[in-house]
Amino acid sequence: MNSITSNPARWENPVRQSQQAFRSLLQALSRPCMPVSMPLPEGGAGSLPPELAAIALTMCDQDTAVWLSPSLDTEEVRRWFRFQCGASVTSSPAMADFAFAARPEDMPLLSDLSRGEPEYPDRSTTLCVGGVSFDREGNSLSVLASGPGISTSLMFYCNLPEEFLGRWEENHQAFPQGVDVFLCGQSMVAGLPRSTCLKAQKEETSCM
Amino acid sequence: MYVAVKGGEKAIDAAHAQLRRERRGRLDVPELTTEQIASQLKLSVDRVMTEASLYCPSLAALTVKQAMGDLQEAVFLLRAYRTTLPRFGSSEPVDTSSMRVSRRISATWKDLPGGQILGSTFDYTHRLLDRSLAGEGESTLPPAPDKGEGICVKGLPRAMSALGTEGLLEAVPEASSDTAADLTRRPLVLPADGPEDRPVRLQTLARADEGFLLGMAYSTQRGFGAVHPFTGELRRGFVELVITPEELDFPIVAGEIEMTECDTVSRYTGTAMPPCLTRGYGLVFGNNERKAISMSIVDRALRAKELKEPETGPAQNPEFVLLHGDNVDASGFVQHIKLPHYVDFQAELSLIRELRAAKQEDSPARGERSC
Amino acid sequence: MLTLQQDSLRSGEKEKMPLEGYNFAYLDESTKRMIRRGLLKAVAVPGYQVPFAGREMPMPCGWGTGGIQVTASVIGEEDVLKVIDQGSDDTTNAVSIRRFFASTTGVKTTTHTAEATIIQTRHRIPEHPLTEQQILVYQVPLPEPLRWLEPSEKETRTLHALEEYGLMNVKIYEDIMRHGAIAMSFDYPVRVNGRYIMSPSPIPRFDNPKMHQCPALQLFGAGREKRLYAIPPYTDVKSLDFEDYPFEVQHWDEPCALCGARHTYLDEVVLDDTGKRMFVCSDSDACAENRARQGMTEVSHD
Repeated sequence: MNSITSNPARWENPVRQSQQAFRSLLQALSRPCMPVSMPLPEGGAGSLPPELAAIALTMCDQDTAVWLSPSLDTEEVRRWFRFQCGASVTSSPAMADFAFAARPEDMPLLSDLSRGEPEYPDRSTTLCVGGVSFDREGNSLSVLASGPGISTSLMFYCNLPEEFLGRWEENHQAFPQGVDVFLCGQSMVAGLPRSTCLKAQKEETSCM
Repeated sequence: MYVAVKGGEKAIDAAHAQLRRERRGRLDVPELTTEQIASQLKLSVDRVMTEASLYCPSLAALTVKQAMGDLQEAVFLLRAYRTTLPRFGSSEPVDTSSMRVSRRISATWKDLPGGQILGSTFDYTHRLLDRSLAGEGESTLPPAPDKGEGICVKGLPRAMSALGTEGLLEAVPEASSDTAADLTRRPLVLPADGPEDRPVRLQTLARADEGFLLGMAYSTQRGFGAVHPFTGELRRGFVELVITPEELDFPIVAGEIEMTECDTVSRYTGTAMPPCLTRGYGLVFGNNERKAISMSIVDRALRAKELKEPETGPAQNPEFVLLHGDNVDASGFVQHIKLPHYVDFQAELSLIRELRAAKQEDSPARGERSC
Repeated sequence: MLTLQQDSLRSGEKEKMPLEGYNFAYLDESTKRMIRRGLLKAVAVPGYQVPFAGREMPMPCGWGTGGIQVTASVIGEEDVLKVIDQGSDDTTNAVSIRRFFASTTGVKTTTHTAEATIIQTRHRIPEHPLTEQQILVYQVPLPEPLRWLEPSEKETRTLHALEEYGLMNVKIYEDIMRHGAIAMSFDYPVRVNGRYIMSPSPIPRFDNPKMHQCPALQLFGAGREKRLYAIPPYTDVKSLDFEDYPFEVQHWDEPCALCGARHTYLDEVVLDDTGKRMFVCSDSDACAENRARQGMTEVSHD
């Protein structure tokens, strides 16, 4: 609590840094499954990983509702969202514009989030997951990604649980409705828009 | 020999310089001050504030001056400034029932509690030129009223309350939530034809071009969508603007603004409800009765679907009215055809030439082709 | 409809403020956030029109305010900006928009396509191939490709939701019946990623193929209509046609009279009132580069 009160996570230069962070997010979503580095705020936001704090400071304000995974849903993090972003916290994932999960294990079911409506697929939740590693070695998931933003296809590695693939397929099939995901960790962010197709791939198989 | 045209930068600079000179007009005539505009061209200033959704007479006067009296251009200037302002919060809803009223009339009652207060109006002036205003002869001012603010009456009951609980007049529809959507922060979502959309419709109408709204209102009176309105009450005066800052938790009066409010009533023309009277509402900044009345008529017309009335006129079509009444949008788009379009024009030319050539090939009657 | 009037105070921010009293890139931060949220959705659903609360800008609607709001929300101090109108950097509106950003951001501007990181355009796609490092921002007057066939926004939104594009096929079929060809020369509709039909903005159909699998991110802003949309890099963009009436681009019988290029979009320049004319590149930067490459001297007016 004290760490937040005395030194809450925020941009030293909000105009410049939120522009830079936004460009990282825009690039990440435009070039799915290619992690890009992003600027991180100084200070603490409780259990909220710094990459997620960066997204919140860049994208959230009084016009956005935010859902927090159980491990993030503390008074400390709520207060931070209220005072640093002006965003309101909702307990219903389907009502959230942005959902934040501290770690891959904390991810809500994609089907519990909003996919938008047929006429307005933009009224969907964007899920932001922290604690993601993109190392090739020792990660649980290696997938072949294709779709808009990807020239032919590319291999992507991360520590998301294996059951994620089935859930993602269902999400992807609902296109143009669906949830978009930002995977964050190691000061990087990778985008996973609903338009991306993921296929499980053994590492040995070469992709193009 | 032809060379690629350059010189856009210089042309723009020269055009701006010329505009500045023309704005000033003849140098032997004294320059207008914004105070003069705010106090002597007040109705222009009021219109600009309403359509720009920003109450600030001094800045509105500045825009009227800067726009050389072109009020749509002035609205545009003030809106573009408004866009850049940070927001500190929302006021409480203004309470027009406790307005300090300088004019209040009802066309539905001969007399009513609080009385008819004619106030200042062009209504019964004979439109004869007053040459004294042109400096030809002495302009004399009528004496001021006894007390400076004595012309204002506070706490007038509302005219249409006189119908009491008889059920003849529909109740004021319940607000669906405490906060109204802000059109300048959330895009208008169509069809916008439900009762819950009324706040955002009213907001759009308040910002709409006065001339457009007048024409729309007029069209319903002439039969394109049946609204036969009576002016239940038209009042003008000053209302307090109250804000409750989050950190203080108690209301503070930020100041007073002048507003014109219009309640119209008209007979229900559908069959879904028993015969009754329905409401239309208009509210604008400053003194602008034409706009307030037009707004309330069009508001009522736009409720056709909600009230299950036949929709027969353009003024009853929310998409038509709400998307075409904004003069900043409309003026920009209509005039954007002044911009160079030669790339598309070239594309059209070559297409038409191709199509004509193809037609000629097809038709033997045309004789032999030229090469 | 109420805003408390107060001069912009920005707490303790020691920013380089190129234009006094205004935020970097003119828009306030909450407006930028709102547009940025919309842009992310636009990228995630290629070709879908995202509604946004378009702001009044200090230039008229219809003159590029959508593109300007997109550029203002994307641009940063390190960017290099190019602005073109009709393919040229020197048309009055391009000059005006470039100046606006130069004064509100202080960023470097350029006329060279290859040097730019952001290119804002009206009615053209540069001839020089774009790269992964670039963002192309289009100014869009009418974002709805079905608008001429169905005036109601409520209806067209439903048609997009149902992927019901029969109207458009009928229009193309009728063109062919009547003219023997598809009679659309600019703003020629495309299908993006096999899903949404999209207006490419009023670019000549000559430019349509450049959108397909383009390495650059393409962002579209319609200010007055309050819509954003996007084509991510490497995305399929197909111009609508029928198998037996395939899509074709415009071509000219003669080369550019200035640089001799044979495969660029040409403007027709009228030389007198008896119909004498010449054809020159619409992309002034590509034309100048071409001439420089051939050792021709740069000519310019003063």
